[in-house]
Amino acid sequence: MTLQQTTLHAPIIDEGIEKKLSGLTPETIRTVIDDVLSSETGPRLKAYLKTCVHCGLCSDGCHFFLSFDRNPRYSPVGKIKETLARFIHDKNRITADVIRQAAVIAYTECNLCRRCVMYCPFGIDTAYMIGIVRRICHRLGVTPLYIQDTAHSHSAFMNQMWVKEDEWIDTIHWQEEDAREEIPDLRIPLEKEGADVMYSVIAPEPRFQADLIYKAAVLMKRAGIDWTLPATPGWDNSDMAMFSGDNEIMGRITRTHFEAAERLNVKKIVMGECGHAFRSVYDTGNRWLGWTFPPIPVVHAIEFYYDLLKTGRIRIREKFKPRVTFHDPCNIVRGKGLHEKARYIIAKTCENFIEMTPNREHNFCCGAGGGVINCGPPYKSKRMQASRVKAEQLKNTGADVVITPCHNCHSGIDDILHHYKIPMSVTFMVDILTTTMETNP
Amino acid sequence: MLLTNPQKSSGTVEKKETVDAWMTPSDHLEDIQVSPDGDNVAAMFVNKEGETQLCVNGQRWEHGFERLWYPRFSPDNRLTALAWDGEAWTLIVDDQVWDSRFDYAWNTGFSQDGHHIMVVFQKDGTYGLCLDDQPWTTSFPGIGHAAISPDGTRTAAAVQMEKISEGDIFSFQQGVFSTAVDGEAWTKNFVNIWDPVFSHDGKKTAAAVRLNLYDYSVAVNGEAWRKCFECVWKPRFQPDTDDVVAPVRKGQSWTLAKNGNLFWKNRFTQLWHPEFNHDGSKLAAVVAPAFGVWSVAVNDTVWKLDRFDAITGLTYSPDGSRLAAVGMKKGRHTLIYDGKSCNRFCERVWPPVFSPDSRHIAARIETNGRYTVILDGRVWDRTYDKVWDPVFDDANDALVIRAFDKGQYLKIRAPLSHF
Ligand code: SF4
Ligand code: SF4
Repeated sequence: MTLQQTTLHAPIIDEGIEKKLSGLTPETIRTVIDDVLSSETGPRLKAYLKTCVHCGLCSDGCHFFLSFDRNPRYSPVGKIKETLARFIHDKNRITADVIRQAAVIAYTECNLCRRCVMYCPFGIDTAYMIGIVRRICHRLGVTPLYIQDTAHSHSAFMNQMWVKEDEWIDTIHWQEEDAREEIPDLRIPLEKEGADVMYSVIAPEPRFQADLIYKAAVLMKRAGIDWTLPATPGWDNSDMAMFSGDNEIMGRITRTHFEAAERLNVKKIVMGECGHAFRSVYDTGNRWLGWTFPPIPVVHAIEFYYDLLKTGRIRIREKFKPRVTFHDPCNIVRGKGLHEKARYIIAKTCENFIEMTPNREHNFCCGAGGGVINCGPPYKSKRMQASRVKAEQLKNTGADVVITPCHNCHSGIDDILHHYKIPMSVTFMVDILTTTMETNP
Repeated sequence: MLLTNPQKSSGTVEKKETVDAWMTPSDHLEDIQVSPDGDNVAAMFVNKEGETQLCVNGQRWEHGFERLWYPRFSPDNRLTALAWDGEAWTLIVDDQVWDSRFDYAWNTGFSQDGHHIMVVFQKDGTYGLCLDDQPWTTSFPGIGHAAISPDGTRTAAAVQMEKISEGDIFSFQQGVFSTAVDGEAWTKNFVNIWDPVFSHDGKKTAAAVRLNLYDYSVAVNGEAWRKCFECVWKPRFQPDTDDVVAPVRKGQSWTLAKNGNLFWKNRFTQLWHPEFNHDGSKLAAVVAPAFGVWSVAVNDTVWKLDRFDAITGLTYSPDGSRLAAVGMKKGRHTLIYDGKSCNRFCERVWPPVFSPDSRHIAARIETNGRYTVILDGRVWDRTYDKVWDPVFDDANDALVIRAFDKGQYLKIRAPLSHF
């Protein structure tokens, strides 16, 4: 089934990109490019640049290329050609216009989803190279306004939505009160030093989706988990600075998260259903700080739910009846191979499961990840066009519900379902679990 | 394998409280806290009306509240809790309610001796600190990183000086953050302020700052160092000189800077938590000499340890001559001290505690899912449902174990010779 492609997106004026451009000279640009390339990259980048034979096989990996009718501009190699390759080969002639174009490509036309890596015969990681382009843009002060604002929020309050410390604590208190109407002795334990598990979430949960914290608390209670949440900064595991190119703030966020867990001296961190946050604490932020692996084990919600079901700590009362499909989030599937565990949970909880095609590590990105949705409303129309193959893939399942254990995927797919008028709803795994599990295991 | 002494006794139980007996069947226990001297045990529970109550050594507090939260003993053994009476938040200390009322109060903090108590508050949408029931007279649109001076008479925090709308990245980049000391802000603003700290006499403050999106520095009393770095972490004042040191990143590696100048010669993949001993003769930090390899450096010399994945809990002995920390390897912990690993790995080890004469090191540990204490590498033979950090007696000859087991709180005096 092929959905109708809409017209090409109108030019976008993004103040975050435009404001600093006028002050950029070719010399400033060259200095920053030279500095980033010489001090922040090494053999990995050299190997990629030397190895690429410009065969274009990566193109079919990219949902932008496919959704934009195989326009080579949107192929992975095409994006590198217009950005990093120019920075390297043309470095004395990089104008502000080139930087503008590079910023638009790097921040809004690549989800850093790494699907193309699997299509390249040499395994070249285009997302890594686009990350370098973003780093250069950040260093030049040329970043989309919305994601820059999010990075500012992280730097000031260590969460992505300007949530103040009292607002976080207050949200937990009222979620606990609400939950006690259902389960009188339910607790959402803040600052329980020495608990087994620290649970961490992303800032949209206290801001807009506090019911997810409530559901996590119900799950913890039913499974008998000794858990806690920090009342200090460090409760938010998200990290948009990782995607804006502000590595120093990325490191500070990850450090704050782990030091909250170290202060509480928990055995492990269980993260809510978020993909990009997992990438930050499990791969990127921890390594920028010098930890090979997280200093305290980090478990994504999918691994946690899998263990709860596998060990019988929660049992399913009655399976979910509607037809469901599953969207594999890039950061936990290509990032950590959690796809079979996710399917185990679905098999336990859902009666009618329909695989989407392609699936698992070959799944198409939701179009929101990599910070693209965080570049805000100006880019929504383009994001929707770039998600045409995703929309087709969703629609072809004929499912009533799509489950995805990632906030970005959730928002991205919600936008797609509305835009392409697909009669399907999107849900988190915890929604399925809390509606199907035994209440008195 | 953990060593235990086959000759040991189970110590003298000096106090026993049956916490379960304090509650009715419909009460839900929320929290148990124990005073540093081990003589008071407090239980916080919710009764069937949904009210939170505190009970200390079996005596219910007179004041009942719709919600109590964050019960914590001060270092001088007073019990505090944040309390909501249905209209406002306040602090309750040993069953005495503060006069101050807030729309929110949190993050109770204490001076080293426990004589002074601080909370962060929000009132009418603005923020400040309240020390010993005296709120700052100025409040701010945002606050974070609250700090109290060593003697407890002064407080500081990173504060937002003006409200900006979400999305106004340009005002943010002009710098809207400062450090307020006793409610009075530094004269300069910065893009970011993190981790303000007091000098040892409480007269000066320093904080990590960001001057723009790229240049990091340290500001002392509002004046930034003349040099900038790629990144900085929390600074420290040197006790004897008031010099300020901070971890700084330059040329993609970390080292220590003093008053803005590079100070240590070694370069590290990471360096943080610099700590001086009491007289300033030693300066130690947690370091990663290479990617993924963690150790401790003292006066710029790195301890030669086996590979650790992470290190926490850096602690000096009272005389400043010894240093201990917790090393983590493959998800298991051990104590490390005096440049060596004690190599007794278990599930969890809490930060080390030195005896007053600095000769002994103890810590709370979790082993095989139960809790006990370790002294100089030897494990106490009894385990409990829960323990708090061990406390040495002043005579340096016994360890006070504060434990909770089968619904009972136990204060146990364990002679050091019995380990
Ligand atoms: S990482 Fe994803 S979005 Fe980026 S070029 Fe590759 S396939 Fe396309
Ligand atoms: S498939 Fe690999 S080698 Fe071919 S163009 Fe793409 S990145 Fe280059």
